[in-house]
This record gives sequence, structure tokens and C-alpha cells, in this order.
Amino acid sequence: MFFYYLQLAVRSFRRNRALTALMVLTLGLGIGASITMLTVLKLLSGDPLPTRSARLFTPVVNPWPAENATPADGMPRWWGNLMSYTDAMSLLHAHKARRQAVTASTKAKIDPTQPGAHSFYGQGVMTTPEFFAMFGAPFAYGGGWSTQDAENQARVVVISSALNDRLFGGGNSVGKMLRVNDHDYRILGVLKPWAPQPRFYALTFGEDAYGDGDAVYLPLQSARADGMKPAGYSCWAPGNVAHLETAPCAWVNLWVEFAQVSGARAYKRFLSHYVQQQIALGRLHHPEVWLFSLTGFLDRQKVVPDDLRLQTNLAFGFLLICIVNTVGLLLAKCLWRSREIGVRRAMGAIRRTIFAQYMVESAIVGIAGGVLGLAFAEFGLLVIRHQPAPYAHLAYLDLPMFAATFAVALVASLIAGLLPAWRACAVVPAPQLKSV
Amino acid sequence: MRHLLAPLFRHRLMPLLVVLQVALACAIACNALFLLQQRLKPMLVPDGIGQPNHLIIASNIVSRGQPWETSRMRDTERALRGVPGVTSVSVAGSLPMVLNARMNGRVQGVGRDTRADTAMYIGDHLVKTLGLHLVAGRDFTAEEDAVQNHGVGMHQDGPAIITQSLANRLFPGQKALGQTLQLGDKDPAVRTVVGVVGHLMRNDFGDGSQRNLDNVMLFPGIPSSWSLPAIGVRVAPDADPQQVRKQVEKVIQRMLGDGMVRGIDPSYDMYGTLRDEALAQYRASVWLLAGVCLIVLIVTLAGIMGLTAYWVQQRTRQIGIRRALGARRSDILRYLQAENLLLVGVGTLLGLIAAYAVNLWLMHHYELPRLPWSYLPIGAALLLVLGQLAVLSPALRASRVPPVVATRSV
Repeated sequence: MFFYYLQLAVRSFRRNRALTALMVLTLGLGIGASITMLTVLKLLSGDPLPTRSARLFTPVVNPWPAENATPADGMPRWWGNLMSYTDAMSLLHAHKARRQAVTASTKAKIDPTQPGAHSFYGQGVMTTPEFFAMFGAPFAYGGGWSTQDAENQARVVVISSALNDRLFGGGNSVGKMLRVNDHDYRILGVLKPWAPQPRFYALTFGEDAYGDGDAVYLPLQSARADGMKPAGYSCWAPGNVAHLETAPCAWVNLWVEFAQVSGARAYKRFLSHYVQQQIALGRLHHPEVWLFSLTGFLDRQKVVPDDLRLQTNLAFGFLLICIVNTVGLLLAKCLWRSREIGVRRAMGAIRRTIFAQYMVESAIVGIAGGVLGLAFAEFGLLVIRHQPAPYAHLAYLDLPMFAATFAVALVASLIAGLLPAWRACAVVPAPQLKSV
Repeated sequence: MRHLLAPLFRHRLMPLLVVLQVALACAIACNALFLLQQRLKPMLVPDGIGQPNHLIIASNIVSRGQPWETSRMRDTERALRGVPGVTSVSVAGSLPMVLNARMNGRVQGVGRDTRADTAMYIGDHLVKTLGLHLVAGRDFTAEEDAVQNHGVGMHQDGPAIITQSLANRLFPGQKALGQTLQLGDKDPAVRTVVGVVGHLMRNDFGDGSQRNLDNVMLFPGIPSSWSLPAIGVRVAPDADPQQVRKQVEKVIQRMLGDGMVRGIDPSYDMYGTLRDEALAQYRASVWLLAGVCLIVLIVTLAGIMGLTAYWVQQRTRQIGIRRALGARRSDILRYLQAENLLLVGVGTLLGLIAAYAVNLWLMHHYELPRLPWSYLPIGAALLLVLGQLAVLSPALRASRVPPVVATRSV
């Protein structure tokens, strides 16, 4: 029976080529636009660490002087989760969470040992020992540095697999030396490919949030002792920015991990307590504290730009227009064939049969629209890849989105087909036959 | 009128679909057009810069450790002025289209309530280097430009040059020259307006759809204790800007190279190039939104056309009868056009309400201004014309129905 409907559908398409083409084109455009925007939205709103993000948090305190009031809705967005070195280190050493790490991103000058190779700059993170265990960065060789190494300002480094491939051909390079910012660092570990998207621990200063991740991971104190600078800092009073550790400036981030999500409440109490203590000491002046979950922090930082959300809404509005348009055209087409339906009904076809026939017809339009939509989406993503946006080069259609395209197409066309099919099966045969 | 409405009520589904389609298209097209205008704004605001391709902007000159000393910047400036083909040099805290260093503040006339959000460019010889057009008052004097700023110079008294737009906002209907401005509430810095320039664009247009992009103040003197200066170099009209650019790069490297942070290279660009780059994202957005609007309208056009064609076809016999009873071709044409006007009109009305609702929802969720009323008649007119276009071909075909059809199949 199904094949008979298919045959009928194809025949009807042939009869009305322009109308069919118009329907498929409209649906394809709508689907292409929405899938393109959905792909980008999914790319940007992705969870950088899906298995861990629920237990990861970042605290924020207000270090500003007493005369600067705290804004009602928390620290401003550009502040991100900046923290002064003193506060971050005190909280780190308090060990009140299961794991904790202080991070600051930097640009690292790397000198290849091969003769003739030029030095280049790579992204780097200056951090503390628990960084790797906390964020689940997987090691291919070796491991991270110890608290002892950090305290001794040992010149040790963990490198990314990409850097290892580039400099050491992908072999086990643990124990070899790497020249970073004109100092020799001993390689302690090599990571497997690992690049959270976005680089959530380095968002504040508008650095590359998307891409291949960092090249080197250095102990914070060692790197600072060798004069490496953070990507940015924000000061609230004049001070010597050459010694950011003691200057009234914020330039590091603190990340904490709890064994259970519920640990957050206890930690926030501890944080409040810490700030109260500092106020009593006269170091801080504002009692407000904030503890953002990883995903909450990304939301707050508007990792997904408003523009993009707007455009996604627009694309779905457009899809709606396309569906209504298809409803209209399908309806026109099917009522055009009232006589044919009358004949079929008179020959014994029951209403359900007619309904099924028209739904099959719409589904075919939908699938054709889906194929066309896929082509439009690929084209749309191609355009997006040429846009001046940091995430542009990552915009590719993946398998789930590929499947989603057809799901959307099918659902859209079936919804569009419901009304015409219902009208078709409501056709009363007698008047139609009379006028043949 | 009755014969216009009766068929619409007899077959409710078709007219309803046309109305729905028009309403949706109107709601979405109005909002898309509005977004388009928002994105277009930074591209349309006059930036006030004369001869954009004869202005070199050196930025990202980051000092290592301590901020740059003012004397050192003055030496660099002097060296740059010696480059053949250079007519004027400015050392500034930030410059137009330099997006990584911005200085903003709220300003008000002394003793007045109206505040304005402005960008500040602090530097010497800015009017000459940027090629600004003074509409009133004077440029800063050499003494004013030689001032030793405390800090970047934001919180100190002195003269100021402001844009016409800022002058209109702060001192509506009055002469801005000689008026005093204050920055900040507690212990404010007071500046006297000595000049007004026609236009100058601020460099923080990224998030500022609500801001007036033409509100700018200029302060004289080189900012001190500043580690991220920008240097503007005006090239003589008859000199080759690319040649001069190479020389400028050499001089800045020679004078400041040993004090720069390693790993961050300064950039030397023509102002025109910087502007193109800074606006690239906006241009892309504008193209996208324009495309969306166009396609929405085309899809709607096609949809109305398809529906009307069927709707007319179905009434062929009725039209034949009317022709037989004496209706002229033009009567039929006008009848169908009037019917379309009615349907599209109702759809547009609903669409305008929907457009406003969508805008309210968007305003609630995103930082977006209210849809101005002026958009509604534009959207309505656009759709009404579209509807008439869509009905034209089916109506013409219908008007050619010969009266004999009426006799044939009855």
C-alpha cells in the first residue's frame, strides 16, 4: 500500500512541478537556516568538561576599596572571576575543597632545540599542582608536578600532545629540556590531546577561547619568577604592576572541585567567613561573596553571544514561516485534487487511506526538504567559517546534527501535512463526482 | 463590500492561511529589519577622520614592567616627526578603532543634570593628526599640549574639545564653547570646552547599541603612567603611506623596542584598514540579516502567489458568471486586488502587534532597545506592496476568463 502511495505522490509531484519545487525549496531554506544556527549554538553552549562540570566551581570576592560600592548584581561581567594573588593563595592553601587550583594564562615563547627552527609563541597556563587531576587532563607520559616542586619554584613543565608532536615527534619526551621564555624547563609530563571548548579557565581577557588548547602548563611561582606575565590584570589602586603578587591587582582565577555538588554550600560559608576575617584585618571591605558553577559562570560571561541567540531565534521564526507556507501550498495542491479524491472515495477508499496517502506525500516533501536543507546548512556553515569569529573554524556539521536535520525536516513536513490531509479526507465524494 | 467578504467566509481556510503567513512574515521582517539597522549603526556613523588612508595607527605598544615614561614618548614623537612625509604625530591613551585600550566616562555640564556617556581620547595634536573638522572654537594650544598629565589625565582640570553631538546633548540650544564639564561626582575634574568638532567615533561600539557613538571628548597632553599607548601618524597627502609606515615602524622599534614586552608585537596599520577590520563582524551581520529579510519576503511572496492562484482557479466559474453578467476585465482585476488588500491588511495588522510582542520578548531577554514606531508603517507598506505583487499574475489570468466559461459546465 505504501508503495502505491509513493507512486501516487510522485505522479502528483510531476503534475505540479513548480509548486512541488517551491515547497521543497521553502522547507529546505527554513531547515538549512535553523540547523546552521543550531550547530553554532551547540558548539558554543557545549559543556567544556561534561563529566566534571557539575562539581567545579569558581569563587569571586570583591577586593575593591570601601568607597567603590559593589554593583547590585555582583561584580561586573568584564571582571569575570578575577582574584588577587593573596586571596587566591590563601583560599588555595586552606584546602577546604576536594581539589583546588589557581590559574593564570600567559603567552609563552618557546625555542625549539632543533637547529634552524625559529622560536614561536604558544598559549600557556601558569597554575598549581592539582590543575591536572581536577580538570581531568589525561597524561600520555609522565605526570604533573608536586607541591614540593611548586614551593621550590622548580623549572618543570607539562606540555600538550600537539607541542610534543611538533618538537619531539610524538615520542616520550619526559625528562627532556624545553626552553620557555629563555629559561630551561624540564618536561615532567605530556598530555594526551586535551582542549576544553571554551577554555573556561582563561576567559576574562578576551583570549582565544576556542582552538587547540594550551601548549605548556607551568608552575605559577616558577613562571612568575622567570618574568612571565599574565594575559591581563585589573588594579583598583596605584601599585607596582611589576610585582603583581603584592600589587592591589587581580589577575588569577581560583577553581575548586567538590566531592559532591552539595559541598558548594559549605564552601560558600567558608568563603564568607574568610572575607569577614579579611574585613576585620582591614584588607577587604565588602562582605559579598559569589560561588559560580562552571556552567553558571559560562552563562554569566555570555560565552554564547546574545547576537547568536538572537539569530537562532530568527532562524526558527523563519522555519515557522516556511512551515506555514508549506501548509498553504500543500493545502492548495490537495484541494486542487478534490475530484481525484472524490473518485478514490467513490471507488471504496476509506478516509484513513486518503489521510495516509497525503501524509506520505508530505513526508516525501519533508525528506526532500531535509536533503536540500542539509546542503543549505553546509553552505551556511561554510559562510560561518569565513566569519571573523573566534569559534568560526570549529563550525562543522556533526553526526547528531546530521540526524537532527532529517528529524526536523520530517516533523516539520508532517505537521505541515496534517491540515491538508485532514481536509482531503473530509472531502465529500458526491458533489465532486457530479461535476466530472 | 458584501461580495468581497462573502466568499472569504465561505472558504475560511485559504484566506486564514494568507493572513497567518502575512502576519508571521510581518512580525519577523520588522524585527529583522530593526536588528539590521542596529548592526548598521556603527557603519553609518560618520567617524570624522579625514583621509583615512593617510593616517597610520601604531598600537599594542606594551611596556615591560613599569608604564612608559612621558619623556621617552616625547622623544619618540620627535623622532617620528623627523620622518619625511609625516605632517603630525600624536601619542594618545587610545585612538579611534583601537579596540584594546578604551577610556570611557560619564560627563555632565557643571551645575546641570543631563549626563552623557562618552569616550575620551587623551593625547597631543589629536585634531591635526586625526584630521578632525573644527566647527567652533579652537584647537589646543602648544602649551596645553605640553601639559604634564597626572596619570592618564582623566582626573584633572584643563581644556577639552567635544563633538557636536555631545555638545547638543549636554548644552541643548546653547553655545558649548566656554561651558564647563565635570567628570565624576566626588571631587570632580572640571574641564572647559574650548572647541567643538563635527564628528568623531568612539572606539567602544562593541556592546553599545544604545549608546550615541558620536559622543567623544578630547583632552590634550600625553597620558603618563600608561602602558598601552597608541600613536597616530598623519602622512602628507603627496607621500606614499606604505613607505612612511615602514619608516614609522623602524623608528618606533628603535626608540621603544627595548622597553616592550616580549611576545607582543606592536601593530602598524592604516586607519582605513583598522576600520574595515573592526567593522567586519558588523558587515557580516548586516549581510546575514538582509539575506534573512529578503528570503522571508520572497518565501511569503511565493506562498501568497500559490494560495491565490488556487483560490482564483477555484472560482473560475464564478468569475465567468460575473463576466457574463456584465463585469469588465478591470472589475475582476480590481475585485481580486481589493480582496488581497483586505487579507494582507488584516494580516499586517496582526503582524504589527506580533512584531511588537516579539520585540518586547527580545527586550526582556537581550539588551535590545524598543522597536521604534516608525518601523511599523514601513513594514506594513512593504507587505501591502508585496501582497499586490503576489496577486497580480493570478488576477490578470482570472480577468482573462471568457464569459463563455459560465455556460459551459453548469
